[in-house]
Amino acid sequence: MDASSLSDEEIVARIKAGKVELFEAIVGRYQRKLINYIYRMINNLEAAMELCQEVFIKVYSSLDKYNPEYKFTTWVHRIASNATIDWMRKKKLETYSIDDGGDKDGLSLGDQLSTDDLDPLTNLEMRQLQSRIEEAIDELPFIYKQLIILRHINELSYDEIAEAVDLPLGTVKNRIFRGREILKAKLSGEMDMVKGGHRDNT
Amino acid sequence: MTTPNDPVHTSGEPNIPEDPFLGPSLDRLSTINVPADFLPNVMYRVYEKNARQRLNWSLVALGVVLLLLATVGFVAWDVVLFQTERGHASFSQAMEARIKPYVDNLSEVFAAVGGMLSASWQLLSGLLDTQPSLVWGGLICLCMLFGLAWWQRGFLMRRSS
Repeated sequence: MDASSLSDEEIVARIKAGKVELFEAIVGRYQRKLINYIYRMINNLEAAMELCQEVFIKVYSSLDKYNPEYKFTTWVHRIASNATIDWMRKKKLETYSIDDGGDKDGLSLGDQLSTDDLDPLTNLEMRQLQSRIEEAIDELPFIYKQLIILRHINELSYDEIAEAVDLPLGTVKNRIFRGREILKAKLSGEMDMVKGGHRDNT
Repeated sequence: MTTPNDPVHTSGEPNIPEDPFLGPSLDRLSTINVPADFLPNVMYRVYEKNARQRLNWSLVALGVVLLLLATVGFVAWDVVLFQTERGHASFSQAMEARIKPYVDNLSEVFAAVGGMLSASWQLLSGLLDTQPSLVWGGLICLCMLFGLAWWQRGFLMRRSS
């Protein structure tokens, strides 16, 4: 059966009816987003992979409790968010302040960057900016980092984020705005450099 | 549906436009590629969990009982054939004759093991009487063996991670 044409809610209904193999489609749809979210929160690739597996097992175990009135995306992200917070608390990592700890796994930026017809110098500056952005995000306080990642990496809407982290919509928007302001303040020097180079090219 | 670059509405404040560089830069952050074995690992655990949930313990108990009955039936049939073959007067006589060699054999095995243990203990006792320092030597060897096993376990775990 081709599950690609089915919505998440339809797949869940069929899994509940006994088609366990369709859970593969759910994993395929969300594995990338959840691994990236968890990794960016805990900064440990191996632990993120294991934790993400646990999240999917929890999702499968909790399918009976899933209410189709709510979007499946937000429900899955809520489970991932709670599991990540629990993991961080067990490791005694700060969940509401700046986190300076964690080991850095080498991520290759080269494959993910789009050149967008930029000249080599501007392209290099963009890559350096990307690297600095990664560091700046990692330095953000938990309450901003979580929402920035859900917004820009997991591409959730504000409403979906509010549902996933169980916060009012206004609080979500405020924190995302403040998180961006902190990032802009940290990156102002690098961004001015790139903007200047970009203007010269136009 | 809002996109990441839409202006953020804060209560009582006008729309604040996004920075044209920060927004796209955030959207283009690098992402991790999922290893090929991630999905199979998850599905293996899902299928295992599903199988355990569907396990019917009454069926398992029934299976055990049936196996026991089959075993008893097979032994009884074997004894009956033996009785016919050897011309024993009764079933119990044939059963005793059939099982006795195995019981005797088992007794011999236990006696041999007991004899070996007894001889080993006598040897060790004799050695300890003549060389008391052997106790400490033996303990040190045991500790070294445990230490080696522990190190090997850690080494293998680090290699597999």
